[in-house]
Amino acid sequence: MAASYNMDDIVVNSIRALFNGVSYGMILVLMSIGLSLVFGLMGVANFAHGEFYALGAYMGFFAFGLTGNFIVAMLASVLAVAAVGGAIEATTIRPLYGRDPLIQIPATFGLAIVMVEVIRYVWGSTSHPFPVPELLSGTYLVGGMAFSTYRSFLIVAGTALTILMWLFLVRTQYGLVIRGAIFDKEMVESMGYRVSRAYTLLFGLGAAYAAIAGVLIAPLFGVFPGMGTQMILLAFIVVILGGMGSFKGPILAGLLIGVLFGFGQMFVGAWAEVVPYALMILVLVYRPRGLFGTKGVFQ
Amino acid sequence: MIPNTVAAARTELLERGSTLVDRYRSVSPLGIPGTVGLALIILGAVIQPFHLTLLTRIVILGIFCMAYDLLFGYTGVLSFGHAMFFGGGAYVTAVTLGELGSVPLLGVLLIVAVAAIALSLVAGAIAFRTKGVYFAIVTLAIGQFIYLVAIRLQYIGGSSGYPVPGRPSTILPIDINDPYVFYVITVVALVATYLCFRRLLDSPVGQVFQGIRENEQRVRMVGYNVFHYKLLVFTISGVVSALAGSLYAQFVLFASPSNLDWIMSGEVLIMTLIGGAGTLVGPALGAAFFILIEVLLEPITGLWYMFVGLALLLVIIFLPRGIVGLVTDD
Repeated sequence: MAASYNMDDIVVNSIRALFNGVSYGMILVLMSIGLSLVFGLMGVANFAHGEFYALGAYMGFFAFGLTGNFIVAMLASVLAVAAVGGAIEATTIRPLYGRDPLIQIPATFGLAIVMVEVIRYVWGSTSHPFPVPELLSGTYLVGGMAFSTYRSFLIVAGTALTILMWLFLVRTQYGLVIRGAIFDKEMVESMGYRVSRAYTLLFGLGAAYAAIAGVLIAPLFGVFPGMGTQMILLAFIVVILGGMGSFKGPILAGLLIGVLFGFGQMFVGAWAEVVPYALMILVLVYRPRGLFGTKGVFQ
Repeated sequence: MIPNTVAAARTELLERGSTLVDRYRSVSPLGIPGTVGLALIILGAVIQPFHLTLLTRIVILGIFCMAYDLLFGYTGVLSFGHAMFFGGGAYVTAVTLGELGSVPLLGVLLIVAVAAIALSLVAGAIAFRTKGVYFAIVTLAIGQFIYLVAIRLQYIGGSSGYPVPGRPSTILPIDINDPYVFYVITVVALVATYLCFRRLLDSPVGQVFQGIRENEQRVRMVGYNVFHYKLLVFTISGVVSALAGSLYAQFVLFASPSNLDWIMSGEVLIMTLIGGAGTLVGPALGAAFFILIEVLLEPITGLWYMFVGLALLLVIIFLPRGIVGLVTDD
């Protein structure tokens, strides 16, 4: 009897780890899609992407404090951060396109520093709690197990937004231009499309997705100045692990890391944080282009 | 306007057949590096203890930045994980002195160097499977992996770091617990690093490094094994960075997890770029600039770090060759 009880325990814990992992993985996916597209199209490894996520959370926190409405907070945050993203691309990233692509790493790192400090200046160094919207609070029971309503909402929202981005990329004219330009920018330009405008749009769109991720995660962990810095490394791991030149790469890698993280927390505690890094290094040893990368794009 | 004036003055000097620097070089028995070193040693003797502390920090970070620039500025390889060497050197030093007791300085440096060679070869063999931006992110992940493991190992102090019980003994009849004596050692190390790197960069091997920066494919086509040369420069840079980290731990008598964190890797890149990548003097000037901003602005405003970020952005966009680019073509 004792043995079967332990078996149940493992099953219950595993389901919980899976559920927590997928909901966290969805946040990683939303973060990484934008990062991956900007990386793929523009060759910019955007270290400020994590700060779009942090700024999104703070903007949401600010708008939620004003209106008390989660939907309004989310929309306000997304619009504001998309505008900030577009403006940053036009003023700071654009002057660097003719230069060595490596220079964009310190440039976006400098941007990240400035953005963190601005956040710290405006909202202070301490963490602020962000309430779970009333409609989405609490838990529900399935087969005797309690699941968090809010984490379920994360999974649904993340899936919907990912599908929306996919539809944008494969069903619209703009998406076609972006996909084309990832593989051959000059060819797309010579057909009369202004790829530089797509750059600004995509940068803003990536920032908007990061902002959504920030607002969505805020009710779980609160908002604090270091949240973007913490997240950007994981997002890069997801992008590299997933591989370049593939849309499903960052999605599957994000979910994989989320789930491993969930199981890691359940079984190895604080060591779970090490898991994504170890996984990435291991995968790179055997498969330098990542799990789903197109051959040649990565190496 | 100022750069134009400087350029005009330089052109004039060139037309006369030599620059001031050239003339000085021909009359001084010490050479420029020796003179600068001597000037630093004299300067250290006359300033207040607090300023000596600052200067020591600048010199040690200057060595680190120079080592970083050998890889970044001269070979064109951007590592975002150099904190693993700096912090690694600091930790190896602290643990060696803490566990083995009295070890002579040269013994400590030898242990640090051997550990750094091992780390460079392993990390380099993994990371050089990729290049460019990917290399930067892979080194970042390796560095952060080491950081995350280090702060969880209680044996080396976990997240609170590892104290250095005392500075090591030396074979010379000097006491390096004296701040000024220790400072002189760091200045000698800085000048020695400069001279060794200068010699290395002028050698055929150094030319290959710079060739990789200019056109990696061509270097490969000529018949060089680019992977081996990259691993070599990564190792040299890593070892010297670790030695700088070792000096730093001996200086502050502590190995801190922040020495290993990726922010440290970002800061060495910031200092190198602000000073002037692709030169040996620039990175050390960048270290001085960084420390001075911190010391001068921190008491006035909590936003000093934002000014570092802004300075970096302005330098990248408007001064691609950094501070030294303002005054020299070298």
